[in-house]
Amino acid sequence: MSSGEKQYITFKLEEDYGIELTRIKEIIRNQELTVVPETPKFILGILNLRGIAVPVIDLRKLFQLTEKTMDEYAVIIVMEILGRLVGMLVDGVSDMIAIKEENITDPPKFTDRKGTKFIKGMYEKEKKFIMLLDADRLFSADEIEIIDGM
Amino acid sequence: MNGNNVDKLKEIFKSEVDELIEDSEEVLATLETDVGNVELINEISRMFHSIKGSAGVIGFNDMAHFSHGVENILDRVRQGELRISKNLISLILESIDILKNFIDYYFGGPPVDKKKIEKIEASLNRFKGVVETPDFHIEEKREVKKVKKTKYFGIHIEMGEDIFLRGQDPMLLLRELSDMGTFDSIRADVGRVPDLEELQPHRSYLIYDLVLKTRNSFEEVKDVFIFVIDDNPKITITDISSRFVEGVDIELADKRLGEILVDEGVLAEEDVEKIAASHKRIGEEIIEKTSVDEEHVKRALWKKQKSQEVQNASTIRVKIDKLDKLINLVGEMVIAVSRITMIARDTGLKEIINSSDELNRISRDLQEQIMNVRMVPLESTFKRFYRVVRDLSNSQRKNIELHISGEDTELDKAIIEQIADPLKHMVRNSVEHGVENASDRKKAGKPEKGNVWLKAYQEEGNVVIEVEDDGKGIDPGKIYRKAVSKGLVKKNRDRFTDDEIFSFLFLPGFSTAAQVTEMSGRGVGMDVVKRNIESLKGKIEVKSIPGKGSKFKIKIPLSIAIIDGMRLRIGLRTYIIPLDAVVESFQVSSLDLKSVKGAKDLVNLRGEVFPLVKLHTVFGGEELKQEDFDKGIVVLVESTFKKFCIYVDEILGISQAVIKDLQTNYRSVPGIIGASLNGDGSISLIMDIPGIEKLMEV
Amino acid sequence: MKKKILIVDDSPTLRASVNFVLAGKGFNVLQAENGEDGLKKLEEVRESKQRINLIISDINMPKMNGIEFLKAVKDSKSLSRFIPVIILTTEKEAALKQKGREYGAAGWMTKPFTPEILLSVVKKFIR
Repeated sequence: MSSGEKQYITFKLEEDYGIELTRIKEIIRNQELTVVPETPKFILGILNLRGIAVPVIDLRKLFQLTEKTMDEYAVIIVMEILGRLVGMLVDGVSDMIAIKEENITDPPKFTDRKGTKFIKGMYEKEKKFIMLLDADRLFSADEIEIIDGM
Repeated sequence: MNGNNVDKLKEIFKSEVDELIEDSEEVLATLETDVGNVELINEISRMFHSIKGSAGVIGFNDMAHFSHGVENILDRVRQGELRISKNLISLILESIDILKNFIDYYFGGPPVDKKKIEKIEASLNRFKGVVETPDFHIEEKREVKKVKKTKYFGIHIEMGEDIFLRGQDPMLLLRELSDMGTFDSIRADVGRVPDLEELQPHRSYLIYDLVLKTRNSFEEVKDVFIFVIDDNPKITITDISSRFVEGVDIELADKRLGEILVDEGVLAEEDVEKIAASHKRIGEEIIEKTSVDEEHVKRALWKKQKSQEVQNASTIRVKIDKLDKLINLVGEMVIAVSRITMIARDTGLKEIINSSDELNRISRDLQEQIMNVRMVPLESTFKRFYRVVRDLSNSQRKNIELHISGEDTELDKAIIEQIADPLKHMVRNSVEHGVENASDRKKAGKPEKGNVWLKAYQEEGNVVIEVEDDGKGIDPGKIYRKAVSKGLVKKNRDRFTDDEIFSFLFLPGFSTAAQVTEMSGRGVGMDVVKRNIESLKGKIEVKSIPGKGSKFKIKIPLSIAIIDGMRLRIGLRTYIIPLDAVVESFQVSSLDLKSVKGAKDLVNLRGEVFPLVKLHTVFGGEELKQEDFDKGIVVLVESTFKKFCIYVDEILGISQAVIKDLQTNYRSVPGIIGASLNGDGSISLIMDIPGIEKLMEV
Repeated sequence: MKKKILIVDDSPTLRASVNFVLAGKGFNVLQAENGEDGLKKLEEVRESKQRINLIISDINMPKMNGIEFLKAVKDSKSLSRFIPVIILTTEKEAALKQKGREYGAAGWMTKPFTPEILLSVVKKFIR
């Protein structure tokens, strides 16, 4: 990998998304979670990862995409957001690719449910666009507070 | 240990912690309303840091470990890597409650609820992020001591003149060195000492040169200088053990008495000249005319004499099987004594421990000496080849000269007897098939006289013997075709490198058994040679440049019978890892284990990541399936190039293992060197670390 | 005459532990809780015409930290400047080790340390 290039893990959720590898601790298959009562719908529960209690988020619900039953390809990406580990349930991991900074284009002018800009850029690969996520902007301060309280 | 004092210590600790906690609870209350205040976070972090330190000092490691975890998280907040939230602050408050629980426990209260700690730690752990910080670790003095032969180190202590200002003192260094052994010689160099008027008492002028005789390792001797070496680069330590035979420096044999005494620092150089002029016996002159006392002179003379004796060592003949019996007995004795030493240590009784330690020292000395007895220089074996080469080259009408070097290299007599024939075979090969006749050499532009070199030397615990010639070399094409025609190899020239083709020479059936030779009535093929070498746990390889020459290289490990090993339990079986390969052992928590989906297991040890080997995947067998991977111990080993970790359930101890060769009963098992008989009659298998490395393709 | 060792550290537990180990081996242990306090103790001992044989000092202390204390000791005009000073650092503070040596520290130990390590280091500086 040459300089100016960073490794990304890409995954599917209707569209293709990417997250920097340095943010990812582990990728594991979907498994039993401990459900936490009185939490918002996008929160699935707590995963016990060898002595770490990792809160797990349903990314589909967070992005308000159509529901889908998770099959055996669904995985949980354990990553670091604002310093803490959070698990994201996604449809499946596609690939690991190296992307040069200069090949990342500005994201389109759309924002999510609350207007926060959680896409930091776009990358084109074989006619498809991969949306690169800004991990630290996925959640609002309030949402982080809820997640920390789990 | 005075129980009273320990209680006082605990009280002091309790009051320190109570005060720290009280202060921090105040700070946390403020922090809840002023969440981003870095200064407050600093204070809390400092509190956990202090508690960690104090708990560590007093030995409450669980509390220290827990505190360390929280401190790390707060540091991340401080450094901006982790955003704080109210819930995180609540978690910190809960952690403080845990600390209070710890204190209660240490003062007679109920033990801290393990489940509670696990739950809080599990919640806290997510705040540690992707890159884990190093674990809480207490620096221990290195306990593991390897069995070392007696060594001699030449040490030159030359330090800056202002070292007293630091509070350092060469005398203290000398004192520490003398605790490790004895000074075979020591001399102070007064070269830097100025005249009296200019002498300043707070400057250090003397330079010391000494020879230290000790069983300690080079590292341990280096440790003495740990605080001074950076500022005083002129301090040197050299291993001069090779100059010492039977306790005397063999260089003394060639030195004059006067020189010896000057080196020892008791005689001034000027005096030697005065003495040299006279005709009387030097020793007497020195006693009379200088201030050297009789004792010194007598001793120097004795050393010189002994040195000469050693050089012309006198010998006796001993039957080999007598020595074999002796070695086996000593091997078993060493194991028995090791056991006694361990049992003695358990009793805690000083007298018994001292006596058994003494016994241990003596038995190791004995072992060393016995192994030494069997070591014989290759000289006589090598010298025999002059005749072989001369006769053979004459009968072949070739002009060949044999060059020998390293003939003083020593090898166990039994091994020498085993390799004598293979060596002869290789030398004959060089003469018969390697080196060309005079006219062919002329045509090839080489000098008419051909050469065969027979070289021996030591390298990293092995003896290496090389047989090299400047003949026509080995033609890979020819070898390949011969191997194919004999059905030994499938036809596929491109797949093989030249080196691989050379190794076909060692395939069974390669050389014809047609000729009858004087050796065994059959042709001795290179495969037999290879098997011979391998039965000695050695290796053989061949390199050749067609047209230029060939070189056969044999490597034989020096001591094959007895090794120091770390005994451990994996599942239901015990294993031994040679201590040479062990770097360190660690207790791991599940937090240190990382697995990359689809790939190998990894362990994070103090910031470095190593591959992790779970042996039941290497050796198979359900009995090896280990217990809870969360609570195990990991041993970091070093192979030829790489380091990796082996997961074990328990470390049983360190002991000497006598290797009983497995090969007599089984075919060689990859990953295993041999087996060792334990004191209780059970067997432990000894791991071959490079072998395991290969198996895992680590 | 018992050898004197001065321990300068803001943790009462650490001071008490060092005292515990070293007093048990026949040393006379003096305690100070920060650099300022440490200098005072040095002064007192000097006035009673006695000597301190070794100083062990932490780095992170309130009022006057270990580096400042070290500098003060080494810059003093009295014979105190020849007393060997061992600094205590934590694993993370490796850079401070270097700084300490620049200012004249004779050696260092990382916290936490075992009694064995403490004794082996003390042995290096006291006859």
